[in-house]
Amino acid sequence: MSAAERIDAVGLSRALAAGTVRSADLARAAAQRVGTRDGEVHAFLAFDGGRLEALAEGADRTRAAGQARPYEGVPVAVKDNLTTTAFATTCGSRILEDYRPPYDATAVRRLEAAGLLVAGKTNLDEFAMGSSTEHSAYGPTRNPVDPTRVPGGSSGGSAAAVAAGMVAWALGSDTGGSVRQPAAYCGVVGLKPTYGRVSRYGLVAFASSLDQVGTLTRTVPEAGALLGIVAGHDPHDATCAAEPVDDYLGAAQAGLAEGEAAFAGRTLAIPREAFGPGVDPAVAAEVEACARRMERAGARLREVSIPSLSVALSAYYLVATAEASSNLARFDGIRYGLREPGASVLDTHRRSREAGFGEEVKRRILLGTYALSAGYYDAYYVRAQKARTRVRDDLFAALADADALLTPTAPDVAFPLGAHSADPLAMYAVDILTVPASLAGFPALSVPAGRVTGLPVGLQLIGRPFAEALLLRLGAAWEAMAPWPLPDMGLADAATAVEGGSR
Amino acid sequence: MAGSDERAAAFGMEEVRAVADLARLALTDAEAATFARDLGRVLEAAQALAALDVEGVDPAYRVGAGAEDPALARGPGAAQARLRADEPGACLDRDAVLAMAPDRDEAFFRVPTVVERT
Repeated sequence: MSAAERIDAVGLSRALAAGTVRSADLARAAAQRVGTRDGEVHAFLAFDGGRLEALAEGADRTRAAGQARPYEGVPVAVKDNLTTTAFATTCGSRILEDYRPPYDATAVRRLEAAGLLVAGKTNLDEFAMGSSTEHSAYGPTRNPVDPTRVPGGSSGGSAAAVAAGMVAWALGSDTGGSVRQPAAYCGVVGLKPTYGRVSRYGLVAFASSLDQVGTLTRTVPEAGALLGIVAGHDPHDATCAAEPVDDYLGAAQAGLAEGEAAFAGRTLAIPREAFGPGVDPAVAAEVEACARRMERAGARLREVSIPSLSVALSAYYLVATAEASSNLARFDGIRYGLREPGASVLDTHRRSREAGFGEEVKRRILLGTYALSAGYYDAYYVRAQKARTRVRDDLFAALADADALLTPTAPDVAFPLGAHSADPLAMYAVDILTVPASLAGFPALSVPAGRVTGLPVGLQLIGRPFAEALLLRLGAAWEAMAPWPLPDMGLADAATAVEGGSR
Repeated sequence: MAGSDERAAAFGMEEVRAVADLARLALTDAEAATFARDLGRVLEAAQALAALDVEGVDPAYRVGAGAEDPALARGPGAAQARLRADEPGACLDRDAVLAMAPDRDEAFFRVPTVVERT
């Protein structure tokens, strides 16, 4: 594998600083990859190659003037449920077709403040509701590894853009696994930070107590670099944490340098339920084999039980849909978005929402409305929130004597398009191993862990709140032990740029 | 589980239409039939929650900062501790906001008549 193919965050930054790669080269390579691959993959809902190149040339001038920041001029893709003033923000929905937000999301502003260039907006399940990116009003995204299969979801566009080598870095959002599961399916790195680690200001709300901005990257150090850029307190989001932002890139680089040594003396908790019924035995075996390699490197594997895992999925779908039914009440055809005029205000609401929302969004609004309605509130919503407490208590207990929990990210590998389209329950079941960390608000990292029938498998590490640095260190150590193929970004000409880089 | 069959079976077209009315959704007959079936199945699966022992367990209405201390995360002061001072600050530009309105009248959103003039 050439050095260019394994270029990581630090290598890219060094190559830019050394002048062996220019931002304009990155922009042109991105546009070329989108041109050749995105007709099939459909990762982007909006991509503006001309804008990107103009911004890149500006970044190169800034660098020539000696004023460049470390990642000045690196293209980045942004999921289309984060608001951007430079691009329409559709959330994959007809109801927001052509919607141009009057403000940028905090995460997007921080990307731009760090000198990164927003290349475009990526496809998603409508309002992030789905696990396959098939529920986009603008057509599905396909998995670059096997275009007959889904990329996962709901951040499937961001995962596919990275996996296809269109961009090195992308932002997604994760409510019940929407960063981690597509990362697993596409063979890239996905990080869902602790709830509150990244501001949700400008992230169009799906389920406010679960939503969190996350990263999709080719390598673990890049996840550290990107998290370091977007994390931190934001007065615009009352749930955004004030905890100090750790040196995430430094932690990942340390793990990459340590390799096997990073696992010495570590304890990894292995929940037996995550390797049992409902999980593809081949996927379970592949992830278990990875855990054994970590054990040989010096980690202690401790089998634990998470009894509440059996109810986590139901609790998640009741809590998430209840919050969604409330959050999506704002789409009423009055202040923004699609309006289908009716005889009365109420009729306008009903007709606009009927015309603007897709089937999965309606299904979830109905489920959530029912779970919150009089007579069912205690039986469903309150009970689900109590189950949520149990999930969090179980995770705390499992992590009391362990550094991280280790599970498969998803119970399967990428499935063919349409495989679960007629069966919402089968689609929901794909989230079984990602919803526990979401319900608890804990950070979780998905890294590539081998393949089954040629398709990528994801390994998930779940940590205690604000333990992102530890997860990145262990994930990068795993990357050093079992390096996965990185997408070709069309930067072969710049191969010499990174010789002697961080790898 | 006892009761789940009745509950699933009871989720019929009328019940879907009643919930859709609460949610301000106008559904086609085909959608109502699909959702009646789907919601019945999802709620049936959710009956597993009924078997979970949650005696004395508080609902987790809050996660995030402070979650490393479950008692604090659930306590009444968890959110208040981080509330900012209620001071006026910059807000979105009115024209930029109204530019996205489906129908406007200068500085106002225009909507169908709500109250008839007498």
